[in-house]
Amino acid sequence: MLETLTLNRQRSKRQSMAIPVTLGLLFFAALLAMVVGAVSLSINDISSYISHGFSASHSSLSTRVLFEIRLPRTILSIAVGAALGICGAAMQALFRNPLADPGLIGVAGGGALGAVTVIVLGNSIFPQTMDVIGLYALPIGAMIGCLGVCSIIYKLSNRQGQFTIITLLLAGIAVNAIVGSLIGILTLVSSDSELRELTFWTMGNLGGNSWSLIFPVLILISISLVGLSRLAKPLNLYLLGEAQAQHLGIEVSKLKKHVFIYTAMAVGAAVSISGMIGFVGFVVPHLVRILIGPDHRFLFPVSMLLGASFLTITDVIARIIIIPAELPIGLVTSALGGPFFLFVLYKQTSRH
Amino acid sequence: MIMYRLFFLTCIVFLANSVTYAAPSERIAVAGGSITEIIYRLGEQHRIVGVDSTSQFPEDAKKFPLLGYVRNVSVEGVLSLNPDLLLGEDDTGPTKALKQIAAVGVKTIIIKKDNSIPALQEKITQIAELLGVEGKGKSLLDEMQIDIDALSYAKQHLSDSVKRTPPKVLFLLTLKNGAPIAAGNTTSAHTVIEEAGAINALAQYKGWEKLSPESALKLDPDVIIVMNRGQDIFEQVNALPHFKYTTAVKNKAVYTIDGSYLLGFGPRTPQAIVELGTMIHKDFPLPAGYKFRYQHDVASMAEH
Repeated sequence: MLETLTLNRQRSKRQSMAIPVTLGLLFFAALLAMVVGAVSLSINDISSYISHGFSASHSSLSTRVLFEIRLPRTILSIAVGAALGICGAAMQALFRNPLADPGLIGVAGGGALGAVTVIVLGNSIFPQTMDVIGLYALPIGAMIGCLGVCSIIYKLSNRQGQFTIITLLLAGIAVNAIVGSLIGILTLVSSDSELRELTFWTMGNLGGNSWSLIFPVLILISISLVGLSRLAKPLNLYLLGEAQAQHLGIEVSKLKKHVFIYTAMAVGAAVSISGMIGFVGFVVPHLVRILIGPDHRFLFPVSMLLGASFLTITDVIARIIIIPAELPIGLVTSALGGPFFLFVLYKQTSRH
Repeated sequence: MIMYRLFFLTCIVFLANSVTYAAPSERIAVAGGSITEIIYRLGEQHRIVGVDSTSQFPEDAKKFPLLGYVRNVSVEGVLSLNPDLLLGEDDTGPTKALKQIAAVGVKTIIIKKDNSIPALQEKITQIAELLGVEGKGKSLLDEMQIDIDALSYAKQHLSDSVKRTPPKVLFLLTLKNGAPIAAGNTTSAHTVIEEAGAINALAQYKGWEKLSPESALKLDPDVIIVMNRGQDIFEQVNALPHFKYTTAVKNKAVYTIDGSYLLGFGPRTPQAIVELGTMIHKDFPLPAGYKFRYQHDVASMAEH
């Protein structure tokens, strides 16, 4: 009894500390992402640009790099990291399984299918369209792929108003297998250069995105993040079991559908612009749960903030480790996240 | 309306002037092995500030900061070298990164990659103009013309029977994992085979194709060329069920050649095609006094 009480007290202390600490970490990460990079910035140039009211005549290489390259990239990494972190937590709650990740509902597979279709078939099937939408083709294709595959899985598991987790899981696995084979077929007919492009896409990259590319993504992600945050309390009750939650007045089917839709939207938007970034959605919620417990009112915001800081810091590393080239960020997140997670897990289990 | 047109015209004139009289670039970031090679041959390598990972020749080019793989250059990485020109072949990317680099004000020029000898000459002229060394460009073209002339001379003087039924050549990219990948049409290898006065055994397929044993036997090539392989090339090809019973293996007409030398479409490529011709045709009638002048990269011929 006494032990449980101390644990509770410890935990609530950690919970109240967690949000300010991760917020500080995020602030630090964002600052780091702004000041560190291959081009060294001149403070004088930037301050004179700002003091002249951002007028074009005072812009220089420093200010262009800062405001047109680093700032959008940092904001994108924060948004994508936040989306991956909170959606990972939401998926683990939805499936009540620590291994769940957004890939289960077809987001990653659908995104890859959309992207590979655009890369391999885009120029030969819709040349005019490709000319018109140009840079937007790949993100739009990936987004359509995500939403298409997710809605198929949603339809399959939503029969007669019953949205059961087991059908969702099985439909997800089956549809992912089909999508995988379609990707395989397209890979087979692709040329050497298309294959290269595809490989880089699956390793993730946050670079090269201008404001006009990231703006739609930011909107979609913010809507989903707000939506998911409001589901924290019902998800706490849902963890007791579906029947129990139903008796406590939660509309369980509706809750599950909302989690599904918001996750598909946020991760779909993230994947469409940054390619596949593995492991963040899995490792961040786990870490947070180990540290502050499973209460979603804290788990959600802290996962969001920690995911954003983690991705921003790993992106800085990806940018600077082999200047002037760059590492794909997916490699860095897995290479850093894996060992760190194992370390925390090992320390946690050895205490008991 | 007139004002508008006038303004438009002024802009065009201004632009045209700025293009023609712009100072030649002094700090160049290069993405594309053949461009690097051409700049070296023009003797202007001191203007290079960074190269991509396909710039493997000459050996000296490897000392420059590496921009990464040509399809995956990083915006800030390129900018950090403070270039005044980014010169790339048209597989440079991603496109959105190029747009950002251009938006920051770095002149970005992408040269169309069309694997043919006229396009190669065009490429050399264009690069020489960008660097403001038209004279050196001209003498490089003259130098290359020797190989091109030798090639057309040899093709004209091939025996009539060879002209009527040119040998069938199969060009293999790799033999790895027992699955050879061969060149179909639209590949650079297809172009050089035709230029060497032969026909591509796999001309009915597009791009690089993985060959199954039966389809390889059915092609029955007269000559097999493998890219970047070591000494015992005949043994390696003979060991594969794909080629064991082909005419090429029976006649021991199996050769290897350096990939960047032949397929890079840099200044050495015309000579490489002549050399390919001497492999394919037992007696390739070269003009009197013609000599191979450039070495190819022996190190990269070793096992990859």
